[in-house]
Amino acid sequence: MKKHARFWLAASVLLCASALLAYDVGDKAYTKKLETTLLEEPKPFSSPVAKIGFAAELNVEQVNGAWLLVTVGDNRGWVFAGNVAEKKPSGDHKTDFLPSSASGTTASIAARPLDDVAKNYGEQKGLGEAKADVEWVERQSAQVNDAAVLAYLQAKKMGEYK
Amino acid sequence: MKRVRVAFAILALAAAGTCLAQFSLNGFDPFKAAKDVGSLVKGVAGIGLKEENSIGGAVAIEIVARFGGVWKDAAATQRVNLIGKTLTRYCDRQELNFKFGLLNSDSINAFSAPGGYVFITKGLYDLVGDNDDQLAGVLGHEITHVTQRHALKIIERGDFLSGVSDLAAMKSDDFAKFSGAVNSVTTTLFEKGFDPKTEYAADKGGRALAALTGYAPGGLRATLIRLKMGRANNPTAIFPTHPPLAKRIARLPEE
Repeated sequence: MKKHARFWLAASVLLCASALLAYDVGDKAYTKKLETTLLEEPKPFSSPVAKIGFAAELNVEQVNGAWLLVTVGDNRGWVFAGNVAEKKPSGDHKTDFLPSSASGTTASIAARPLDDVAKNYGEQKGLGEAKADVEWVERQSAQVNDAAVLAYLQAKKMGEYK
Repeated sequence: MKRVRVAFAILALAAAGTCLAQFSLNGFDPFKAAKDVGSLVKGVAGIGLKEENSIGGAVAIEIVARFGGVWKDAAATQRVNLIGKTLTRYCDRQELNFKFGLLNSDSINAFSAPGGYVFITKGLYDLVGDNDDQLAGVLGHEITHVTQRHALKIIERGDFLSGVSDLAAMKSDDFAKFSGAVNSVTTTLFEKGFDPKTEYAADKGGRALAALTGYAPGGLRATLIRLKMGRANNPTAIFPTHPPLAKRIARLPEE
């Protein structure tokens, strides 16, 4: 019984997610990460067939749940809808990305912490304690790295791991 | 940015009458700051990531200062960051580095600041309890305010940074403009609120992001319903400029 309930919950979430997707065959989608991998099949552990750079325009050829079969140039493959955007990101943002954290080992050092302008703002306004609190949050946040998020998604069977 | 008060707003705003203190340049070292902040520009032309981070950091400090400081519960903070970062894995601004924190306040509220700072109060955290779907719905709403640059649009419309050539090099006039930009955001967050259209957009975007990530799409709606029920017992806590909860609930599909 419990098993059935879990199945229907998962099915309803999947259906709702599909319904939320704005993509139809013939639509355009855009890569939003520095590098987006196209896969041979609509499965997270499928073989990669191509890697596409930032802000590339993709043609949607087929929709399968939350997965899109797309073409770009001579490349054709599947991508999870969460890894692309409906609107083209500004090419200016390409240089805004942090260095790859693929190793997933970042911890304790906050990525993009409060800069000197913000720090000085806090100090000049007598908000040193609040500034220190924000820095505490940044350190805590840094401990939840990409590897932890990936492990969570896989364990919960969420995102492209559904 | 946003804030929200997820409309949730309930209380705390009553005390929001505070005025921002005057900013002075005493002790500010423009050469040190110049190492980290690049050229500003803009006004109506658009705000770059470095400026966004500077403004967002200052706004984050203001949020924390006004809502009792940070609630330093490491386990709860880790949970909020795990769910928040799981959502942002699929958000539309992958160049941002989001940080999620809890405010030491029993009021029920949530805020976000440019650059990727998201805060919810202890009161709201307690309200959603161990329901990850509801927490994801709230965080998704805040994340959408950031990714759709809702707060930055206020600054851009106001042209607060017009004529500032280099935020890092900050002359006193420029820094006054920076302070004005921060003030415009905090005034919206703490006093005026975003317009209803912006709130509805954050609801819609947050729901879609949560669902795409794999959380139940009805998490945000369920939270709003709980807030509405609580509000019935405390009608004076209604934030006048915020969209009525009933309207927000009605706009979100049932499921």
